[in-house]
Amino acid sequence: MSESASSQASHLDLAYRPAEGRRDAMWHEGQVRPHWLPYVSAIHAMGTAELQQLQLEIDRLLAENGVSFNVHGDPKDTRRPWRLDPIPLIYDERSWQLLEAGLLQRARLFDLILADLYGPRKLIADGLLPPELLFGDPRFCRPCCGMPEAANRRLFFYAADLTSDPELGLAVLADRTEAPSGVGYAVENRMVMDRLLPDLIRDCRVRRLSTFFRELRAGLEAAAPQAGAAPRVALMTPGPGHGTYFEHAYLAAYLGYPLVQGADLTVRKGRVMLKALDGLKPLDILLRRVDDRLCDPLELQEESTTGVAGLLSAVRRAGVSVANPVGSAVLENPGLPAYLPAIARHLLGEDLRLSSVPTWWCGDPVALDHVQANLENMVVRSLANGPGSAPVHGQLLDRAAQEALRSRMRARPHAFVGQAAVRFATCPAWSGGRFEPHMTVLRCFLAAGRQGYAVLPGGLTLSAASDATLQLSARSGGISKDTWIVAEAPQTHISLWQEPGRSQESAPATTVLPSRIAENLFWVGRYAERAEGITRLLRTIARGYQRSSLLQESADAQTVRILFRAMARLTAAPEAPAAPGADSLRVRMERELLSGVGGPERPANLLATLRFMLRAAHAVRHLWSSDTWRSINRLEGFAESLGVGPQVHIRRLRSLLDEVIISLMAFAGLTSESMTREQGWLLLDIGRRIERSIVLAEFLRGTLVPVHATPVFHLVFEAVLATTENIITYRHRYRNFMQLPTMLEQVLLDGYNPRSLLYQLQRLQSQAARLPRQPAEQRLHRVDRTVLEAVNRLLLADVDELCRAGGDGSRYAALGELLAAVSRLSAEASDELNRTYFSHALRPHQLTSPRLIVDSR
Amino acid sequence: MNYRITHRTHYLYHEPVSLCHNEARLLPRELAGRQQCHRCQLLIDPAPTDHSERYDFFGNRVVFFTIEQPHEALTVTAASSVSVMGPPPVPQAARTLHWEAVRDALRSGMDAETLEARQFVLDSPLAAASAAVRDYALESFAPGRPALDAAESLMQRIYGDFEFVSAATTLATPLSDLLRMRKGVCQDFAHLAIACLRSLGLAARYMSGYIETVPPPGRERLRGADASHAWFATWLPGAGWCDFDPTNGQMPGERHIVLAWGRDYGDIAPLKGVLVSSGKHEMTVGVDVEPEP
Repeated sequence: MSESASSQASHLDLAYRPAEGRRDAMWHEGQVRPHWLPYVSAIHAMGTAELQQLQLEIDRLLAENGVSFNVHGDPKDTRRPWRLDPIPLIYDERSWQLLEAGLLQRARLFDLILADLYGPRKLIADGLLPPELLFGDPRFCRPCCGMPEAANRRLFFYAADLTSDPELGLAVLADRTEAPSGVGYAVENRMVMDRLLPDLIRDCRVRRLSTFFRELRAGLEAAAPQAGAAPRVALMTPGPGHGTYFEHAYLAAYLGYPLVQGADLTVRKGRVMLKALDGLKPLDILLRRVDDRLCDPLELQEESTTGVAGLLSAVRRAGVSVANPVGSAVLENPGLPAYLPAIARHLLGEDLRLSSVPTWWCGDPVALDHVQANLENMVVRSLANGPGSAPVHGQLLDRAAQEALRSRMRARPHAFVGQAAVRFATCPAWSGGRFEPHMTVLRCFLAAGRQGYAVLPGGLTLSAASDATLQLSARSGGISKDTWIVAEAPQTHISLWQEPGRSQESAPATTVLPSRIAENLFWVGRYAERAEGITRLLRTIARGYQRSSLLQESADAQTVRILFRAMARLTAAPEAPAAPGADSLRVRMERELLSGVGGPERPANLLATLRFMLRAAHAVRHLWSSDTWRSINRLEGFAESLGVGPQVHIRRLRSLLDEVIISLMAFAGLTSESMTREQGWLLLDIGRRIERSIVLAEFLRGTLVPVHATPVFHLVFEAVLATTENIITYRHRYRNFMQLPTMLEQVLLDGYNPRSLLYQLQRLQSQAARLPRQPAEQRLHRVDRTVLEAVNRLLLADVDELCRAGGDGSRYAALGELLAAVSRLSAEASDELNRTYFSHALRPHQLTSPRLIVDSR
Repeated sequence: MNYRITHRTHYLYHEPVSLCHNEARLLPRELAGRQQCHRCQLLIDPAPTDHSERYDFFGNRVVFFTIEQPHEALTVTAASSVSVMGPPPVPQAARTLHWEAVRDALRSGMDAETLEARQFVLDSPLAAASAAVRDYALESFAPGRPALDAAESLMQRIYGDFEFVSAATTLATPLSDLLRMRKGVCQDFAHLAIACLRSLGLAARYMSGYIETVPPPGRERLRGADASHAWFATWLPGAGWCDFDPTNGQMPGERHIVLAWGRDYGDIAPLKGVLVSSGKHEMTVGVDVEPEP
């Protein structure tokens, strides 16, 4: 095989020209490196067209799985799609083992340094680390010093960014120790590649990733501060606005831990408690993705609502273990690499196997001179890590800017670090239908297992067309690559689920439902139902409008106007003002119809409702199955098409509305068929039932309560049945006899019809009864009572009386009253649920500190 | 001198508070040879459901407490009996040390005491050096001047140049504004002096505590008229930390009671809290420092 592979490889040679003066991952001295040959021959066999197709498939899968990241500092807070190159970075096992040994040594070393810096600080007393480097670093958290438990000085997760410079060789660009991100994206990349190229991955003997997570979980769960029962772990995220929220949700689901935010947690008597639907549940371990400074507003940065007040006091009293420990960002100090070789010899008695890019801390006068003299070949970093402290490339500065930098460095030398500028290694990338050498950085991941550290056999590779863009790529969106370690032996598939005793261990964690998650599910249910109601009505109107004649007084036109009035009730807007007479009736109707879709006139139009639903769905995205997530993603696509402006053509609108309904129904079906009947599903369904009864009651109030003359009556009648999805059943039961009593029997009072009002309320009644209660407080009493009253009103209603036009004969007064009462009671039930179960809406505040005022003169 | 100190902080909430976590640095430090605490206790009303004590990074006493039941007011009273002997005299050798020599000792000293002092040379959030601050400092720090003498001159200049006005500044007022306005409170004067010393490469720390205030002749001493006080200290090899009170233009003796110290006020706020409530709150503070026989 290797002979034919190499001849094909030489064919590929024509298309790939490695960059000058760089180390290339695939190409070495005019030849493809041997461990690349199987892959190269396979893609060569594919040909350009198929590779192009592969890229499209990758894009589609990533989009369907909703893989995204947020761009920090982007005012629009946009989620960007994740991008993956079909060409991986490939490592042979031998070089990987060397790298692995270096990474393991670094992790052990950083673990010891962390314990020392927050403990005895002997590294400073022994002269191995200048005190100014540590004490001048804002990452150093003084309140975290002297934590009693060893686990709270332990480095659980470590990641290193690496590249190969032609002169320096393989070197670490940066160490990540605070809350290293990227491992979830690495897994997602592999899943996509595995799905599209399963044979190739098998034939190339690519090492599997899952063993790493088994180690990670074992190491984490062994860190519970109190030995005993199965530890409760939660993954703490800053929330959906965070850049890598996708990954937080993804990892929580992958590892089987609940995803929590600071607002979900509270500290009581030295323990961190999760505010769950059925009370406060203690947590043993927090896997945190929240920055050090934001973890505890009491002892660290005030005004942070991301963290939880009292967290450090709980850590101090061994009530919880945090991974990584709060304060671990101190190891990301950019000057620390300058001292690592000596520290390694001192603490480990070993030479550092994997070096950092050469680094100079300017607090040392010799280093300051060196950095000043070689500014053109330096990347200058500041010890501060806030905004405005981004690395500066000496080469990119003009003379004046260089001089300004030099004088700032002279004024506060200890605050600056110089790092040698590197020439990044390249790897072939599939770009614009060609192979091009792109600069790459590989991020490797390590986790503390039960015995020592484990290295992820793979990693996250980012690539970009130039050095400068690569530096920024993590933020501004480079292209990622899967990372393959090709083994000498074939790889067997190992699933996380084969771990013995796993399901027992995780049982306590999965049954706990944080109140905030419950609240989001409730609102997903409500908004999904509202979106469906509005869409169905819009569709009915669009149909009637296309059918209606141009005559002002035609029955069709009058019916459309009645439906518009009903729409006003559902979209929280006054009826759209009558447009000046110049426009034709058709144009006016079209404009009004489109205002129900989007636009500023109606705050609760379809688009806004869909967006609210999607936002709530994103906040709990770890709970959706991948198919459910696809249906959410489709809705996101529709929301985008609807949001493009008023230019949606009316014909296109109808088919778009059809598709929205189908996606909403797919979402409803998938949740109802694939979610376990636990509290989460219960809240989602309760939200749906409440909203469907409100939408139905309000819609009927707008359409059936006024008395209509015969031709209009028939049209309205049909529109109501169509909009409420009752028309087939009605025809089947009553043929074409259009009578109000039969309609009310079916749409209001039929307890077996899932589209009737009574059905919603009876279902709500039985679902609400399953919510957790605290017997002593009888918390649910008011919810129950409210729903019961609505059910009874419907059950006791007299159809004859409902169909009697009252007063001047223009309204069905009793019907109007009944519908108004049901609508109000449903809304009250929602408020009561809010008060009882989601009461964490109260946010913590900071007490103002006393200002010192003394005048003793 | 013996004192009885009562420091009472009262919060009144407009809406009931269901949960609060707090940290109090209200118990004075024990300082061998300089200050001795006899009975120091913290009274909290309503009674906390959880409470623990520790020493912070700088060795100050910190009480953490939680109140879990709904409450509409919170009163924290620190009651302390303290004997103050005052700081030891500065040895003659340290008195004549040029400030440049002190600076150089701080650059390279590796003994435990100097290492400890070196972190106080670095800027901190509320006391950071700048060109303007350095210019102000240099008037007192002529080349070759003894450090102790120069620091005393700095203290006297702040005492003379700045007017004590209680509402002129807030914690957020930058030192550059303070230098321009020339008015502030003891906290501002301490921060300014600390930034001045740091701008020259000298170590400086923020001291919080109380002073015994002398009542005007013929009138009874007003209770609760005082509040907590702040000053600064700088470090000299062979002498350790020396205190200066720029608000009163004098070196603290046995009338200054030390509560806590840190890099600046931010490290040692007397009372901090995070509470769960929807409303606003009002705060009143009263301090009594009464001489005891």
